[in-house]
Amino acid sequence: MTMAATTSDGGPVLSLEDLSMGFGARRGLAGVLGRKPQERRVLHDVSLDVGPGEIVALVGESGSGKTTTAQLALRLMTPASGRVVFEGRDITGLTPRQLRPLRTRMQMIYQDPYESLNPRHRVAEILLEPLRIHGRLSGSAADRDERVTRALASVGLTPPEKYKDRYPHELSGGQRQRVAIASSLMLEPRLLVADEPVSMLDVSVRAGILSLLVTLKAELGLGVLFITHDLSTAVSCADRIAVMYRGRIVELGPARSVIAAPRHPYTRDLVAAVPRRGSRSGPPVVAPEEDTEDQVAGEEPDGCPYAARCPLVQEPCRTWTPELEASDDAGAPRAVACRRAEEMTR
Amino acid sequence: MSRLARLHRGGLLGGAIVATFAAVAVLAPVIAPYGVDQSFSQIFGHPSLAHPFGLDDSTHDVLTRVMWGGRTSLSIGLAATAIAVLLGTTVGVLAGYSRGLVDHALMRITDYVLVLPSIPLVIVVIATWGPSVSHLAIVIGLLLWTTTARLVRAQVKSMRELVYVRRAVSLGASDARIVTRYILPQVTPLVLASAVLTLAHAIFVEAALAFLGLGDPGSVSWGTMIEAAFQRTAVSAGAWWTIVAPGTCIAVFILACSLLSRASEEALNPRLRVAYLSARGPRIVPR
Amino acid sequence: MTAVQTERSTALDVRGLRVEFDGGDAGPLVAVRDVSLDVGAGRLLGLVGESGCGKSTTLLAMVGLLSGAATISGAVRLAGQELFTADQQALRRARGVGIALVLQASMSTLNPVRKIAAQITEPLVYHGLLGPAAARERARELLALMRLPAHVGEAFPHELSGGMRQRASIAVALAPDPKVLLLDEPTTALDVIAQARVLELIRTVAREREIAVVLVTHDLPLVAHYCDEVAVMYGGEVVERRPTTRWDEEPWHPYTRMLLASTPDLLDAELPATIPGTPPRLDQLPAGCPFVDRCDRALTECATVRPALDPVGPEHRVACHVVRDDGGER
Repeated sequence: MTMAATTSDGGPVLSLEDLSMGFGARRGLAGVLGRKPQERRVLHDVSLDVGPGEIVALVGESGSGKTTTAQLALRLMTPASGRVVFEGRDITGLTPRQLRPLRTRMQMIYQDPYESLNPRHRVAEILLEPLRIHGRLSGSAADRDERVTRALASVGLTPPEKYKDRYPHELSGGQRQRVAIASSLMLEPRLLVADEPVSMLDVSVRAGILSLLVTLKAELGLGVLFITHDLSTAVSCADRIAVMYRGRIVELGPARSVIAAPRHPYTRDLVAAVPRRGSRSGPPVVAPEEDTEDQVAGEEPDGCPYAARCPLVQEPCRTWTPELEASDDAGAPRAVACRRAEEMTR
Repeated sequence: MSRLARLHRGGLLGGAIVATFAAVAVLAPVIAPYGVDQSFSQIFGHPSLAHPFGLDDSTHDVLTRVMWGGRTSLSIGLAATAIAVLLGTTVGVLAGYSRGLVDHALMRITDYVLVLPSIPLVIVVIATWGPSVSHLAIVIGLLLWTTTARLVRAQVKSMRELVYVRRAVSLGASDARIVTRYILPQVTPLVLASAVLTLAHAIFVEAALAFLGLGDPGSVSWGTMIEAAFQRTAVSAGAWWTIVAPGTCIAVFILACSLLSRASEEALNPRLRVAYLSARGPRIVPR
Repeated sequence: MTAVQTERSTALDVRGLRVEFDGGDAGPLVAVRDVSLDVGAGRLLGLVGESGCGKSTTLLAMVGLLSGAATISGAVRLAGQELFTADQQALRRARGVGIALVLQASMSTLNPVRKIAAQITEPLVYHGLLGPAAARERARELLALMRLPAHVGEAFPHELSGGMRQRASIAVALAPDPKVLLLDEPTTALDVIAQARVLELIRTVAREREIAVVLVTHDLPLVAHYCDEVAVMYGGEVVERRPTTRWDEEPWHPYTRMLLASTPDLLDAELPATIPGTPPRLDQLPAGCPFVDRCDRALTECATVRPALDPVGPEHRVACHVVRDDGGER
């Protein structure tokens, strides 16, 4: 089931439909001894749309499948089942060669600003590189210079002379991330996948990058898929939030309403556990764990994956196959994957 | 690159020595005191002021021959190193960058070359093919490429996973571009450090081959000088200078290469430099 | 400065800590400049700052765990005993036994090839603190204390989730019954629920066992909720020290105020602010207040005169000319 994103000029930029992905366990001794290698499913029927000019945040803890989803969205991996639709075109089955021309229209911003820029290239070179790769660099040196200046200005790095000839190690983390963003925008993509773009930056610098993303998505009509584990960061810049747990989207809706009135027990637990800034709100609330904490190499139980930890759990939950159910209250489309959601909100 | 400016004293020493040898080798025709085959009065003449390294069994001046010999030895060494490094880098890059079959195949070939008993093989090849300078250079080069190959492969493999390389891939860069613009620049310093060590190794192998009688009989090299000395009873005649002079040159040159190589390794990998500092612990000044 | 309240003794007392690194031609780089902290038994101090402020260096310097390029000076007292003596004997004995350290990235703190229980028992037995049977019992106790299921003792670190690993690291650190626990960003790698659990647990254990805790983090709201006091660092110095019980009371050091304002909150209507500029480089520290270039209220004297950490309220100290001039108490 997909939630159609609000768009102004046609369909969504990116449409993920029922994506599933699994990783087979390594063969090793198990295979040698004839035992069947266990397959762990990392994604279960993930469906998500990203429209032009909107930021969709994909929130989840590590191991929830959000990074895998991002990789599938950019077709850096092939899903086991499901479809990846980009600009209305099904790109699920395309070969790397067929994908190459499309790569200009979908770009990734990486988490680590210290590793994502080539340390041996100056900023100007880094910015022009995407154009060089795709043979779009024409014109005189003055033209090129002009493009570099414009790119730097678009991400707030002015005066351009100050940054053009620097090497990455001469820039701060925030500045590097801006260069990375500018470089990705050189090819005028429609989709930007940002993988934890601010989590390695100092807190005092983060808002600058987030505000840049918000400005750019509006100006350029970009669709942005924003991956993060930090709920506060997500809600400060995203239009919609999708909460992931163990490879499934458990809640989806406009950012502020999901946070203000969460419907899935996991979302509620997440919101309650965040330390709030002012002391006007109480301390973080979290249930003590005992044996319920997830271990790494666990088996996949049937039923709702949150059943083991859920404060609202009932017997039927353990056999219920979770499905994202839509509801439309006051015109704001929400979706929750909890069989008790409706009775809880009454 | 200011780190390089603060080279290790050993590195500077090594570099100076290598540079000196190179200069002497190049300028030998000009600065050698006498002619290579110029005869003097005494067989196995003792070192004297006129002949600081004495005379050999054919009454030639040893110092002159050492200079000319350095020319030959270094040429063979350099040529062999060039071949080894070129071949090794190519194999290393190909193996490190591709996955699966190509990598496996190349690595197995590397392993086989490593495992082959090199000296007997070289003896057979040179004996059959003819011991000229160029043949020697080629054979030694084909012997020594595997170390470079492995080093480069390891470096390329780890670089492939670097974020900015993956980013270039996701931007749609072709493999050729990734290799030339992203990987090779980073790999080159490592290759240079490895080349210096390969040079040392090559010089040694040349001397060893010459000692076994496989050197080029028509030219003078450090190895052939030692071999000739042994053949012509320098030992029983007590003419130590005929062996010590070329032998010391070889030893000193190899030592210099090692110093240079280690210094450039530390310059490239700053973490090596501070490793010994961690072992020591901080200085604590109580109030 | 008056000693901390009540009957609780000062477990950890740091005076004038200074750390310099050998910068080669550039001269010594001062990473930590005259830092003084004290933590009472059973109390939690949050040491907060952004990258380059010197908080992690401070922590490591307290136990002398820096490289040979560092020169540490000052005084560190553990329950009254001087650690920085000429022969460093006291320091060596205190490390791991009197003062426990838990670093970031629990995968590298724990030995990956030993089971958890063994990592607790071995040091105890090796240092002759307990016999093997008593050590095993202690291991069981600690795992229960950290709310870890019993089977975790027989597991290897990589078999546990991030949250469990972190709690296991803390269990290992607590084995020799230390008086002080130092934690460097213990929850950065954890999701928010695991983070809340770990921090709750640390606080409970600290109170129960009267352990003084120093928690280094970049997250101010976290410290506000879990620690008793906070010390904010910038440019190698402590610029503010205040109890978290009085969190909402004025005044604030400008940096702390701006840092708080740049922290997003769940129900914010708009994006938080940023602090323009970047932290000063260690070799380019200004003569006066390190925050002068980015402060929104800097006076002329701020650039040339270093402000001292002066009291502006009960147990509240701020190093700022502006705040003092505005009428903080003397």
